[in-house]
Amino acid sequence: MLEAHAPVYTEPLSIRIVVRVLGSMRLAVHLLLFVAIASIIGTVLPQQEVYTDYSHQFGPFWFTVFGHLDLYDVYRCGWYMGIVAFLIISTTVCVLRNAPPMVREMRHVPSSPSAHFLQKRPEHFTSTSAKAHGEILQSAVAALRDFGYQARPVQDNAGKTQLFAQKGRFYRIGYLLTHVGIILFCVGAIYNANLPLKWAEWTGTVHPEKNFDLPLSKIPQSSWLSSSSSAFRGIITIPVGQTVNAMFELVGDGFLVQHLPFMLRLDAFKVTHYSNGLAKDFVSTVSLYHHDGKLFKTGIVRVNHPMSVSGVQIYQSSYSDSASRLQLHNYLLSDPGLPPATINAAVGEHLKTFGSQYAISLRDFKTQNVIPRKAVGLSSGAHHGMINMGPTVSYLVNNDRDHTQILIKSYMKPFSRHDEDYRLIGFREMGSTTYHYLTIPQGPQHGIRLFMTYLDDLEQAARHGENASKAVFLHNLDKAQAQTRVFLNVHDRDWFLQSSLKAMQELRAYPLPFLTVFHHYDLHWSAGLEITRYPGMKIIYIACFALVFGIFILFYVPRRRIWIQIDEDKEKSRINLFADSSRNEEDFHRDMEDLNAQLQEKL
Amino acid sequence: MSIETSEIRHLLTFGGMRAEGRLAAQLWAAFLTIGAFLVWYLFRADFWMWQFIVLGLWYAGLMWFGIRWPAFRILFLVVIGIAAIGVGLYQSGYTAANSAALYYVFQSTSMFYWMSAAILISAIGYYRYLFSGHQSAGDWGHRFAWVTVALGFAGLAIRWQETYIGHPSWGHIPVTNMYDAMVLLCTTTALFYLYYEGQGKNRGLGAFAMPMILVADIFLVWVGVAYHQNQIQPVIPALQSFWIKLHVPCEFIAYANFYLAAMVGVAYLLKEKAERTGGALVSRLPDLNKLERIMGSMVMFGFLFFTAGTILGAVWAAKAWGGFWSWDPKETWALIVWLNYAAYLHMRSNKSFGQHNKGRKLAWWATISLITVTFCFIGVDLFLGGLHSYAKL
Repeated sequence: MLEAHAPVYTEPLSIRIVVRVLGSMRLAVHLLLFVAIASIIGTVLPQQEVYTDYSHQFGPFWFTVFGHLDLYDVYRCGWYMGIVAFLIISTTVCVLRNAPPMVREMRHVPSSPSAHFLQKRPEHFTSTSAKAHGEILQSAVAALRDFGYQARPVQDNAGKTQLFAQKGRFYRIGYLLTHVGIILFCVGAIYNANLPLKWAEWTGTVHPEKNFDLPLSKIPQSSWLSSSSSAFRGIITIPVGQTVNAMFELVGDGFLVQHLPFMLRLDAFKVTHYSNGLAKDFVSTVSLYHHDGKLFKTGIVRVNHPMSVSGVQIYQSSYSDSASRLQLHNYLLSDPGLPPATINAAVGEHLKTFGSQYAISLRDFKTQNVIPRKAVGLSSGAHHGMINMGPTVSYLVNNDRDHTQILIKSYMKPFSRHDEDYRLIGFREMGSTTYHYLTIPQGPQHGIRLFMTYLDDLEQAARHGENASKAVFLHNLDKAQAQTRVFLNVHDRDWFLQSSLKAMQELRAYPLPFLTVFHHYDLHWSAGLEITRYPGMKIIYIACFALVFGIFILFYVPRRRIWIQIDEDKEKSRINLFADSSRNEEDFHRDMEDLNAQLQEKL
Repeated sequence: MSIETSEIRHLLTFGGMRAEGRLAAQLWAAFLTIGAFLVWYLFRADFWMWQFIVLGLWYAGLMWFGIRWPAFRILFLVVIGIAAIGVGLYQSGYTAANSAALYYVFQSTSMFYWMSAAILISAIGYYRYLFSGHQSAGDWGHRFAWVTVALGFAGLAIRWQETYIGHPSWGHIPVTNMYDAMVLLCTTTALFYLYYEGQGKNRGLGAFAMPMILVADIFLVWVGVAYHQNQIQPVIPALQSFWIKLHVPCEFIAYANFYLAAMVGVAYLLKEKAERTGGALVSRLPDLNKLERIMGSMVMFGFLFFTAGTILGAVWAAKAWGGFWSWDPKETWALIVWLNYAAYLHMRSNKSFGQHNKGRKLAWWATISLITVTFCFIGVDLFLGGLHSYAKL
């Protein structure tokens, strides 16, 4: 950094002191570290979560204290912005103080400096030559050219000709670009942050709605933002086939509704998968309409491939099930022979069953469910230890009598172990963490009809006083096969008998009087799109380029200056070589030794 | 700009080089130029603006490195040679199941085990050199450091091919989980160590750099064995981006340099202590001023690439997450690391800070920064999560 040698300022002393302190390197170093340390807070404490979660986590006292310190949204709060602003002011003062002398220095080359100045250069070599002045000059020019320097003859104060050469004359651009880049970056960021809105929030003309369950039409006008906002960033979840003209922006513990400059219809949504069931891509097809209903753009929005339309960017951000119709088959364990009742429902719906004693609420539905193979008792050998369990529905069963709650996971695809198919049903009581599984053997036509009928037949046989014996099992299985018209071959029959015994064992621990099997689904997706308008992006990109380019020049383009003076004498001329470098003096010293050797060779 | 015409002429004619060096450099330039043209010719239909820019940057970077550092040219050819064998075997239909060469040597996971062995030998060699002064131990350390780099980069190239084997739709650059990341860190750090060793002509620092790489390597083996991260998985949609090929290498060049700077910091502090109390370290490490300069140039190089890498990451985030900057834990920690080294460089460049013990202060600072960098690199993934934790275990 340059030190201000002469007092350039004419302001009063107090201002001069303030400016000097603000622009000082010490302050800069401390501010940089202070911002760094302050930034840690927001990484330790998850930001912008639901406020009630914080209150559970910290208790009412600390929740309030942290709330007053704005720790839940620390990077947008006053005190953090204040420190950053202070850093930027300090940088700006530093640039304003240093730029004029630096520009002056780059414009005016100190080509004929004083003898005192030259004597103070770190590099100084002397050699002698018997040649004439002109010849020496020529040799010196040639030597300099070999080292990549373009020499310039200049007149010194005494009117004598000397040589001056320099590289990296504009090295100070490195300092200017980096620091101006940082300032520009912040300007762009402020532009993107939509200051007028922040102001409106602060003064209370706009205030965020706190009730997240309110339908769009009921949200008060003071929470709406016009589509002409210069900058916005919000999210909206749209079911396939629907059209929206607004989206939501989270602010503190509430939200604002942002009018969109167009109407957006989600035409389709698709998830593609890798061969092992992991998600490969999420693709939304959207159509954009003017407010008068005229279509003006159709296209796809993928992860990493946003759609750009007149300054607005649309991103694929999330997706969810949107009331897909799920079909479940409900068997009664008290009378397993009855054909199952069909239940139609969607996630989020609540149903009553078993004479209203049980309430079923559907919680989650996934089309793909990749889990570790070990979790279902398979060796982790092939497919990298993961297995795709296929479509899965999970629901909560509430017993209205004793208020126990059971979580059930039901799979649609059979699960194969040693080439034999089972239907899995997982269950766990609320509060316990491990699922127990029913593994019910399937017949060749899928489904558990055969098993249920067989169970029914066995129960009837038991009621008639028959003892458990291999002959009874075989007889009843044959009976069940005849009843369901599902026939097993000899090998499968043995396996089925074995597995049924195991399944019946498992059923003893099963706490419900009915068994629900996931049978079929009709898919309905909704896609979460993020929509932004950031007018400051160009400024930010320019700033970033300036920053990187500036750092490069700052570190790797030193300014190197060489002066060659010739003191003519009667017989021998003395040649003085002075040089300095703004960086990396050690390499430069070696270069200058080489240059001096070259020069002596040519003389 | 600041480069004048005579300088460019100077560069283009390889001026300032001895004759034999000049010929090799010219061959290198010709080789790279032909290579770049070939890449352009083969892929020009698939390329778009940024890919041409990246090709240009790689061309310039390899050219600069190769001309400045002749040993790098040989390394480059050796890496291509080893990788070609491995890729060739896969291309001709062999797999690790039916080819002993692939199973024992050329499949990437085996190659990384060999690399680990090389790191161990190299670390022991350098360590022995530093404390007992065996010149030959230092030489072996040096040789095996080269083996590390060659096997590491070749292994990564082969791994890239492996991502396509069996599942053509899975193909991706192998920098997407903690395992891949640690391989990249080990090799890049070893490469930069060797560069600085060549510049400083001193092997003493190897006893600090290679053991540090060994620690990273032990972590690498552990995530491979304990979490099966050595098995190739397809990448999630958010990582399927062109920008990953720019963002990740930049960050790792930066991390490598920051780590090395920290190790030089340790060396500085030990040497300073040895100068006061006496010890073997005094004679086999560069003098304190030189150590400080090496440390500074490492931080500078790292800082340049860290800035570029973080910005590229932000550009990517603007495409993937809808925002240039989201205050995600990883982003915030990147900012913390950046601010930390920015403060370091300001203090280093400025004369207004007391010159008394400045080297020692900077050495302590660089050493302590190791914690910050490690937290940014691994800690965030392990402890904090957020949008960025692809590499979580």
